[in-house]
Amino acid sequence: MRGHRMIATAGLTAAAALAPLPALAQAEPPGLLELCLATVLRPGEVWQAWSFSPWVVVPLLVALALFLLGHRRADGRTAAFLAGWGVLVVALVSPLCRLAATLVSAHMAQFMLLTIVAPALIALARPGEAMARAAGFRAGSITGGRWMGLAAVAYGALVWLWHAPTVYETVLLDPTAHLAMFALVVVASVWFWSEHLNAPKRRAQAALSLLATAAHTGLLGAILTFAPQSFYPLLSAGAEAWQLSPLDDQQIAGLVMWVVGGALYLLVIVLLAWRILSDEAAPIEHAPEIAIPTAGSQGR
Amino acid sequence: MKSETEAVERHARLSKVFGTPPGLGQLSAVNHTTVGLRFIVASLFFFVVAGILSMLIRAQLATATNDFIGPDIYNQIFTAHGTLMMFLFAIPLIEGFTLYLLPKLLGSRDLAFPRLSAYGFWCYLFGGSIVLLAVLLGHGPDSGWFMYTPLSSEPYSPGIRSDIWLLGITFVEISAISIGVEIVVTILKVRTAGMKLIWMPLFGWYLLVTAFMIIAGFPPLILGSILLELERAFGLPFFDPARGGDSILWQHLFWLFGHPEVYIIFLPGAALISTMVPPLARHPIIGYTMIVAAIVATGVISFGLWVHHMYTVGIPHLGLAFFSAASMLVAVPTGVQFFAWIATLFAGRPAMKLPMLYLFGFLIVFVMGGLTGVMVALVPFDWQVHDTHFVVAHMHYVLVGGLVFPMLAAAYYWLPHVSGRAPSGKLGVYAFWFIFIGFNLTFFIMHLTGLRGMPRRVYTYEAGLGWDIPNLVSSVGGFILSIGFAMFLMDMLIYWRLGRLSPRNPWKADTLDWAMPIPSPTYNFGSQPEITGPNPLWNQPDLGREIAAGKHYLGEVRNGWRETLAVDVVSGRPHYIILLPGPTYLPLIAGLTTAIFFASFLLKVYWMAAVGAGLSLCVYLAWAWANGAKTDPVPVAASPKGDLLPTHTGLPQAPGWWGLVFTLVADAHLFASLIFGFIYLKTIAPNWPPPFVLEVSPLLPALAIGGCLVGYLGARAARLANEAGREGMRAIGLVVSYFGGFAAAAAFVAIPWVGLEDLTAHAYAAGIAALAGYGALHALVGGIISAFVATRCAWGYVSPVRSLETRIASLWWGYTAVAAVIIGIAMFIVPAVLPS
Repeated sequence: MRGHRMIATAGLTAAAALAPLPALAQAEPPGLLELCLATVLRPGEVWQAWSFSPWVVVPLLVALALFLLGHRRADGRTAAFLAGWGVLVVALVSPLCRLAATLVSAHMAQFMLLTIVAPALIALARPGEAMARAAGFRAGSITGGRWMGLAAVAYGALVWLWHAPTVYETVLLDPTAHLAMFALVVVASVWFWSEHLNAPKRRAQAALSLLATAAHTGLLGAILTFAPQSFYPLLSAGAEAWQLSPLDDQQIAGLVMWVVGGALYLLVIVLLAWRILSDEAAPIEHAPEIAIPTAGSQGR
Repeated sequence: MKSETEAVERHARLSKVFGTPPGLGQLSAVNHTTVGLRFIVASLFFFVVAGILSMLIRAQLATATNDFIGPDIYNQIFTAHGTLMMFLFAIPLIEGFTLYLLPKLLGSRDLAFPRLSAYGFWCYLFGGSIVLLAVLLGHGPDSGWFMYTPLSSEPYSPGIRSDIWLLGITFVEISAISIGVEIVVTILKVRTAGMKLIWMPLFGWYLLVTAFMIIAGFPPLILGSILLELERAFGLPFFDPARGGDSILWQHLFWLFGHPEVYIIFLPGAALISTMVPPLARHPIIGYTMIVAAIVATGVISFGLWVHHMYTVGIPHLGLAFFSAASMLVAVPTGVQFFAWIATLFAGRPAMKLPMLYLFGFLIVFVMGGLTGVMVALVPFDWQVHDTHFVVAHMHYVLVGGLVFPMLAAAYYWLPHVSGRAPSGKLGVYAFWFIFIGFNLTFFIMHLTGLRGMPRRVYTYEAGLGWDIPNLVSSVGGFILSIGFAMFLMDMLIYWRLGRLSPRNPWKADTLDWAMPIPSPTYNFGSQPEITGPNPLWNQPDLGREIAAGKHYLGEVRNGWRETLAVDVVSGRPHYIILLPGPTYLPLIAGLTTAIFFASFLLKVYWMAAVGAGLSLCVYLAWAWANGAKTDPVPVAASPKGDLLPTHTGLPQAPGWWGLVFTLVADAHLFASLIFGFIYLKTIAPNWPPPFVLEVSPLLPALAIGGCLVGYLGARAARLANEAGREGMRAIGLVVSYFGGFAAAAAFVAIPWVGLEDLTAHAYAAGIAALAGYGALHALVGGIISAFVATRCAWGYVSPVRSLETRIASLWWGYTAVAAVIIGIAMFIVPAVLPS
């Protein structure tokens, strides 16, 4: 029965996301069903500027349905998935998406949601198992960690690649490149976080790997912050519409990646350290090589 | 009675095995107690020298238009004061305390790599001596302890002075990094039975994070020093704006190190506090887990804040707002620790003993330093006081509060441990009040001097600017402070020899360092205890006697081996037995050959420097050759209960494996800093694009990167073949990777050689050359490692069980292959896609 309730919840969530649609139809914002390609969104137009491109909405709904069909329980995992999915909706459907095609800084906020907040939450829900089950495969418990290094390299490479000026502008101009890049980054991010968060035996390694990630993305942020010229002239008009100089816009973007991104990674690292310690304090389940006397309350 | 005679006999047998020969043989000492004390004594020597220099500074500034020492001497003196205090006193003192205490707190008999710490000591001593000698001869560096370019660059600091700093301090940093690796591996692996990570004394957690910060924080400075030295010696323009360099890059590299450095100094001070507070408060520490999380958070945050030292260099103003806010963030984890200490003191019944007095000194002084820290984190305020004496005062409150007061408390706390004698207390109390009052008199009023606008680093000032009286007060205070330190040192010397004998465990402490007779025996523990809780001596009151009676692990001497337990990282279950090396002159010889390299480079006798590097390589190889065994390890009895453990020799998880892992972490940080520097110059420095581009046949980079990939595949094949017992395949793999390495090294050297006309013309060319040099060096070392491992295989040191060496070759080559690919991207793709 719970499963039905979850599906109902999901339906309501989706409906809530789509609710502004009729109201917006009258306002005639440009290209409501199109992708968030390069545009100049002005301050007054923000709340009309949703984007319901089927290329984005359909995969989102399919993913939601697959997860809920494969995991018919109202538990922490479902909550994590719904939260992560909601963040994806904010990043890809809400006006933030159009704004990200206007301002570099908004792009970076969207990027943080896409590469850190949403995928980390979704990874906690271990969606691979649920979706495989929904699709009819028998899925055992998937634990990450085996490909942690590779995932970190792929994730890091994509972060840098996206911000190379030519790639950045292509992603905003070419619909195919746009879709490919977003899909690639979301998938790679979920993989990255799954490898790091679902590896109970390699938490210390995960913390180190996240530290390295925070370091190199921080360097990228620093370069954007200190650069004396704008890397992305395509968005100059957008920045000016918001009364920012293109350079200011880029600096905010750099700082979001450097400081906000760094703080998010730091948060996860501290939580991981906490988990390492908490696991340690738990009683040892199997007989250790040396018998620990029962003197303390923690030994067994 | 019988058990006591037995304990005495055990003591004699263990002392014989763990001892160091007398006389000149002392130079071969590798024992952590000896090396740790040597670090402490040498750092105190540098402290005294730097202290005398500071008295000269105060004498010069005591009155207006003073001509006691002229500007040239003054510049050398304040530079030397900062350099000595930071690099030759603070860091080595921390290292010394750690080397001495860590194994004793963790219940082990020595560190993971005793010879490495001895090598670290010699590097420190020789490097420090070079700097000190130059100062005494009047050729000391004079550009300030952070050596900002362009002042420290060739046109503005001709001659040898800046080179002294760059080479001498880099030499000392080799020592710091080797000790960092030593500490990490020791904390993770070399503990006593049953000591889970969660039961480890907080000291272990603090130093684990500190050592990681050393491993991650020093490489950017080493890289900066290498680049600046390359610019000064060979004209490669990394920091010269006229040729596509940027002098601000130096500031970034310096503070990438410099901000973590603040916490590298503070965290060990806090570690000592956290170790001393529970026994003195007679209450277990409150908030253990919170403190651990706070330590980790401090370590991570400290790497993101370096920009707050650079508010005035023209950082975009949005950036300033962010960093100002982020700088406040670091106060949170520091606050957690403070409240935990205060709570523990409240919950317990504090014993008002001498160390406690210094602990209170620490609380007051450090909190004041923290408050001014919050003030300078505010951008407008910082602009007002930047480079004034306000910052000097702030910095001294933080460093003296964060390090010196805890160290003074620790000196009194552990003096009985080192000497077996107890201080009487009187002179120590007087010393405290002289130091406390003198310090505050000197530096509190210095805030005012700074607020009134007196810049730092000026050798004199006009009368009537409102600076006269505060300066005079500071000078008087400075001399009171010096008298206090002199009294402290006297107190130490007197009681070292003349104090009354101290009972064992005079503070009724909970930690294992007090479970041994004092002064500490060379082997620490008659048998390595099995602990059952986080406060071993409180949980197991009889532990000291049981240890001496050999009731625990490794109580019997066999084959003359120096044995210590290695444990599972997390659970603390015994894993294997480490056979520690005995006294050897190799670290001293390696230190001397390294000194030949640095001294010759300094004197610009480059062929001699090459000889020094070659000799060092030979010594390192001889050192590595001395390890290992020709037979597979068999489990041997480890405790009276009959537990069996294998010896470590050649095991895949041996300490050497972990050592290489963390060395590569440091190396990776150096590499990341180099990549950052290159991209930074490309995107931010003026006078780009360069007048020419790299023009080489694609064959060269293909050979360079391909050679490294072949090196990796060969080494990997050798590792797998070794595990499968196929010796022929193993030899082929190693030979292939050997040739791959040399081909790649040659190709890397050829890339700038063939493809660029003039390396000194533009930072672009210099950057390409630096990247190629990094690649060539790693491929070359990889080739040497492959050849070395192949020889070891032929000599019978490697087997499917003793697989460490093939694994090490494989790991090195894996790193090198990844680095080679990144170098290729940086050389050929980055310049094409990034705007300049």
